[in-house]
Amino acid sequence: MRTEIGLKHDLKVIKPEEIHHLLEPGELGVVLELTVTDPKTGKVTEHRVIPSKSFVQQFLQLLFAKMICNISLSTVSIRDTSNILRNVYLFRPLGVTLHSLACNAGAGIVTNGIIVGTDNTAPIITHYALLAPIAHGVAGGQMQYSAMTFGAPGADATTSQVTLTRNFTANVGGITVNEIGLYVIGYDGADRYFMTIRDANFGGIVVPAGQTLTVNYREQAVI
Amino acid sequence: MIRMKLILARFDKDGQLIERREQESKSWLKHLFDILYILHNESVSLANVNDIGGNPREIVYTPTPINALQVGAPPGNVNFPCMIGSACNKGEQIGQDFGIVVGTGNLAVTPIQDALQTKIAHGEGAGQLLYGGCELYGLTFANPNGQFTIRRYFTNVAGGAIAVVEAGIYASALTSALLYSFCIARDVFAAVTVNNGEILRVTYVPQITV
Repeated sequence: MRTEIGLKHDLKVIKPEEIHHLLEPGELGVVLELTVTDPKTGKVTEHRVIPSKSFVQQFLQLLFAKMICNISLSTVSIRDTSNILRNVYLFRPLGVTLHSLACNAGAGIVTNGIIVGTDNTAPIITHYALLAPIAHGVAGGQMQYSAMTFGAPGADATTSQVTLTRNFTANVGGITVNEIGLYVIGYDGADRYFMTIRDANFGGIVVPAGQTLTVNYREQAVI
Repeated sequence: MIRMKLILARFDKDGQLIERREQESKSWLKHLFDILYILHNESVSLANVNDIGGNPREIVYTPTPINALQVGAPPGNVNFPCMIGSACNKGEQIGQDFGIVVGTGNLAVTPIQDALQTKIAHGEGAGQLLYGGCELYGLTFANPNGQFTIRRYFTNVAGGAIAVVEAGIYASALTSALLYSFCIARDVFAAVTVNNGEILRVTYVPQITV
């Protein structure tokens, strides 16, 4: 079973009245929205909005690296998704294209962007990758990864946010997604991939064959 | 989840601690997400992001200068280039316009604010403070927690007392032409009166907990 998935990087604008409020004042966090849709009927078969619990170590390390921007070209040692410590640059050497926190993956790309998996082990701060990522593909046990899309930043009276979205279509037999993460790109002389968020505390979500799971990660702050 | 502590400490001219307050910072602002959006999604620009002067800018990802979200800053009157070496072509930023900043305005915080209400300028004149460098350090983890520290010293040699009631963080981002500063956090608090000869230390500590 194969479902067409988009390649276009859409720009969506979230209206203030559509912003979910799950965080407490002072928190910078992520709201995780999961929607399962049957593309044949357009019917939503499951929808959950829950607070993401789990920025992991690499997010704070990459945020630190971005904020310090040390001109001396020193580095921060950060573990990538293949469990190798990388000396991520704090500043761009001349002539180098440096990515930092990028996650604008195209369709079928599983090195960055939102990634899904099947392991339900609770997250800990040192997790550096999903424990059982689901591969992109059309076979059983795989899912078809769409391109990442992004909602433009928005705010209401108390909450600011930006939204990251990816669709995953289940193949024959369906699949249960138990973990979700965000992989981003950093640079140590070459592009490297780092997991910044991992969630596995949402009780799993069943995606029947042919149906699509839409994952929205909404990075938010509440004053 | 990330929370952030704001620590205000006042010292006399000999470096003796006079006053220390610690509170929760409540105020990451929308411009943080404007910059994160550009970093996450490198293929787009974002228009109408007001800089600290209230001027709308179209911020972009660019693989050349990469100062986006920079908070580490030199002292108040020292320029920082947009990139290393002679190829700098995106201008410079003066130290007092990025990193931790302080002010005298007590306007309540809302998510869309472009600057401190009344920023205190760097200097030795009346109502001014000398801005030290803004440093980042102390990146540490102990499961389930992690944190780092952003810190800046402000010295009063202006000849009179200054009541500081707001603090914030300015971070840089680029348009296709130049480097600008954007306010990503702002807090308002009961006044800390910094007398002539005293030093104010403002510390932000972002903390993550899984």
